[in-house]
Amino acid sequence: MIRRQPPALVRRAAGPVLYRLARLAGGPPPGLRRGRDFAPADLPTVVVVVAGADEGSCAEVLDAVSRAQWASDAFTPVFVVDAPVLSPFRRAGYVVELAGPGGLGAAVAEARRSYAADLVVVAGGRGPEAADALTGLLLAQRPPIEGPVGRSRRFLRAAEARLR
Amino acid sequence: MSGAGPEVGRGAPPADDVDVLRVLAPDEDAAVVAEELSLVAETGSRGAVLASSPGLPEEVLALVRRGVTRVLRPGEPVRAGAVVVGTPRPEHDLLAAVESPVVLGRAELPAGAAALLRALDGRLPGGRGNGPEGPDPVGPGPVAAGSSGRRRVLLVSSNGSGLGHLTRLVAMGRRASAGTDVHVLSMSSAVPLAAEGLLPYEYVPSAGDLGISARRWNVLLHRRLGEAVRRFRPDVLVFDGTYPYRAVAELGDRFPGVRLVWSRRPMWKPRMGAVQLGLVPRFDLVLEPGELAADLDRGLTVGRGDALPVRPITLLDQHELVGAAQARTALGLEQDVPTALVTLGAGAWHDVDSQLGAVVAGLRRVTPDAQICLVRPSIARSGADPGHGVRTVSAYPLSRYLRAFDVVVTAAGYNTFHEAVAFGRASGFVGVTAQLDDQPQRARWAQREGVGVDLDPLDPSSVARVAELLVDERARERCTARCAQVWPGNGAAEAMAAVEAVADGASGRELLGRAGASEGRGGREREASR
Repeated sequence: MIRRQPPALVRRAAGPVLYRLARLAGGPPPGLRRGRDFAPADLPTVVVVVAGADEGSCAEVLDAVSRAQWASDAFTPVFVVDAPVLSPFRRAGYVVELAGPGGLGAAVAEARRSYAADLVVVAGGRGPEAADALTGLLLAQRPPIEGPVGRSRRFLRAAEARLR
Repeated sequence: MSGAGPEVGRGAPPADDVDVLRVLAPDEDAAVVAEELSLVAETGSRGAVLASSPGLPEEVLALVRRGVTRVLRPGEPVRAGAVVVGTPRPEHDLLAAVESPVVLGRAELPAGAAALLRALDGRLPGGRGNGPEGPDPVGPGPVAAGSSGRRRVLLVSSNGSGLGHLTRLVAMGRRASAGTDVHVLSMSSAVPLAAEGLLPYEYVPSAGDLGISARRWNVLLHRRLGEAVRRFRPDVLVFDGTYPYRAVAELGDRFPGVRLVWSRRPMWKPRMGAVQLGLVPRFDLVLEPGELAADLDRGLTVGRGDALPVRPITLLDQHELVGAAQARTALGLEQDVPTALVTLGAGAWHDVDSQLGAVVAGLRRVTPDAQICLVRPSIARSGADPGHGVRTVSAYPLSRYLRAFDVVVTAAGYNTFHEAVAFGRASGFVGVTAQLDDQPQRARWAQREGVGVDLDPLDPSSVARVAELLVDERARERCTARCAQVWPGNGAAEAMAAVEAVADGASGRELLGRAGASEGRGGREREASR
């Protein structure tokens, strides 16, 4: 089914109100990219720090993260790298941040703030054991908030995304 | 951990019992964990350890005895700024009574992890996940100018994947005088490619990169730009883009000491862009990079008199290009074979329904022995040579190797168009339909002035005219000679000089007045030389 965009007048009138309400509900910005194979969804954000990033380590981390996503689809990964290796993540459709002059700590703090992340995973190791441990950590991520609060929050954020 | 997850954006959180809680698994290296706990204490943070099995290793017990850290019993309720776990399974069972806004999971304990932990540790207790609209840690207010006596210029470029705006800024930045410090903040993910080794830079993902609404993203940019301004303390911020973001346009209100310059490329489509022109009063100066096809410009920027015109801006100057033979060697191309470069973004080379495919097929039909080179973008994809006389090349900046190509077929975007003319390449131009950039007019101008072929309509006959250039050396020489006649020289240095003048206190009005006077003189000189 093709979902039509609401009329411009409705977007202009209701968009700012819904944005404010959704903001109050908290959580990451609606519509945040989750990878090429995953549609945006209202799920907790995990900041995955790739320390000592190079093409090889990034490929391993991407593989571990996507395995966890396919297995649970319970989180939205946001990557933070400490070296200018952005293209593997962008090719795979993920959000990636590059640590700037403030250093890795500042970049992680900023990513947590920007995407309302409550889990930070540092993926510094190499090899299958590290990758498995990373996947395991991500699989341990809790599901989103349930109950009336969770439902209201999801409704507001979905409405904001529709009227953007 | 709390069952409902972190409360976000709801005022100050209650004080933590400990800053960093380290969860110790039985198979972990106790010495490494002890070192981490020591580092936590060294940074002035309160640490604690929670073990998943009875009995603590001697290394940790020694720290407890010295009062460096304390031990928590499983199930003991505690509020922690951050929880650090080494392996996932057993620790999560232990965390039921622990409330923390962040779990710092570590997949492994690699060399250097302790230093990383220290770096993160200083940040964690203060940085709650408030979302992009959380309180600005920087806050509003004036920013003191650099005390070193050097000028500071912050270059800010838009766009999510392209290089046009960023390249213009880097062209300016690398020509800054010795007394100027330059820093780049870009929304282009290609910024490492464009600025590495030339200028210090940072990357802020664009709204498109993130997939979020402009409303949400502007809040994020507002905070990050404010943080960059606080850190770098620029005298001038130069924005290159067609639509200044709200966070940029309103920067003057937040930081009155920072002067704003808008580098505004002309050649807009007719009747488009009125809204952003309303933002001109927010800038101290509007710079207008020169446009060769200016006499075909029908956009709203024409005749406003609010911008300081400079000559067209290209990243490189003639003398920075390498010779043809050397360039072909560097790109792995054969010498003495007619060689064409085709840089048209979308489509597959073997799909004749795409622009790229149509051009490649057309060139191969007329010159089957030629090397047809496609750009393998270093910023997006990679791939092997497709074969059938089609090669892929990758280099940045590719314009440095432009002499490798007898003919260039490119979209008539600002940068590639002006580079092709500046460096005298016989070219075919495709006026790609862009949001605001009136590319078809540039292609038309090129055809009219004899510097290239307008590939509109893109059909076998127009491609054949480009193919003829590939085999006809005299026709190419005529093109090159005409390019030399129309090219006025690179304006990047004069653009940067204008920015530095603004940093030194010159007003936009003053600079516009000076430009008007020299324009008058230049005009009279040109008239006299005819």
